[in-house]
Amino acid sequence: MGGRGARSGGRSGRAPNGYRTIGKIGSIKIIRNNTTGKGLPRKAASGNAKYFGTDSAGNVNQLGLYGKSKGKKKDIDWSHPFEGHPRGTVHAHTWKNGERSTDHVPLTKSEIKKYKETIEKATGRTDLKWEW
Amino acid sequence: MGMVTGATTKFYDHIDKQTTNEIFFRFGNMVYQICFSGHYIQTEDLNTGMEEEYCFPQKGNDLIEAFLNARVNEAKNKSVREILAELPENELIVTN
Repeated sequence: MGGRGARSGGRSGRAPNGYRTIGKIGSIKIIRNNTTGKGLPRKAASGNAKYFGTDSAGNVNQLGLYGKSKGKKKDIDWSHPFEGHPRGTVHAHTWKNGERSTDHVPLTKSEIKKYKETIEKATGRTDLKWEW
Repeated sequence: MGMVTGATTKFYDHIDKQTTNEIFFRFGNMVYQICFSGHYIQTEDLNTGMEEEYCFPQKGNDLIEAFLNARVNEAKNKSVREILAELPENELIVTN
């Protein structure tokens, strides 16, 4: 701690163990797993973190929101179809006590306001469906 | 011979561990991403980039068996269990 080496400290926002930061949109880091190239960590490096995850090709395909205790709070997805909705429909899965709900829920108006621009910037897509 | 069953054993050893985040493997042109606490299998076709998500409401051993019995490959004709039987152990990646 306190050193000035290549490894940055928690407060400066290092990526979680096993992940590296490949970009940043606004205040949200885009991270990739060093081994698989995709997926998001179970635990964040710091409380209330947010990370964009990628698919195998490096395209941003998910936004993970983490809680105060660094555990997953919500996944926001748009890259796969679900329950009759086509790809590109933005939806969320809630995590509670370390377990993800299988329900697909729409984003609230305030979440749309909060994340739409950032997600569009991260994906380069303006064709995503936000309300359904 | 040992390699044939190795991935299945490794899957059973890690799938419901507290420390396991997701299990990954590639078979053919598909990447499989399985999460016990997330109740999902996500697949990605590496040729097209198309992703699919399959959700499973089961819990515990029922969830593990549901994952293994799922036919989520492109042709929906091969179960995860059958794929793992052909997969070398070192190609099954466990993330924490």
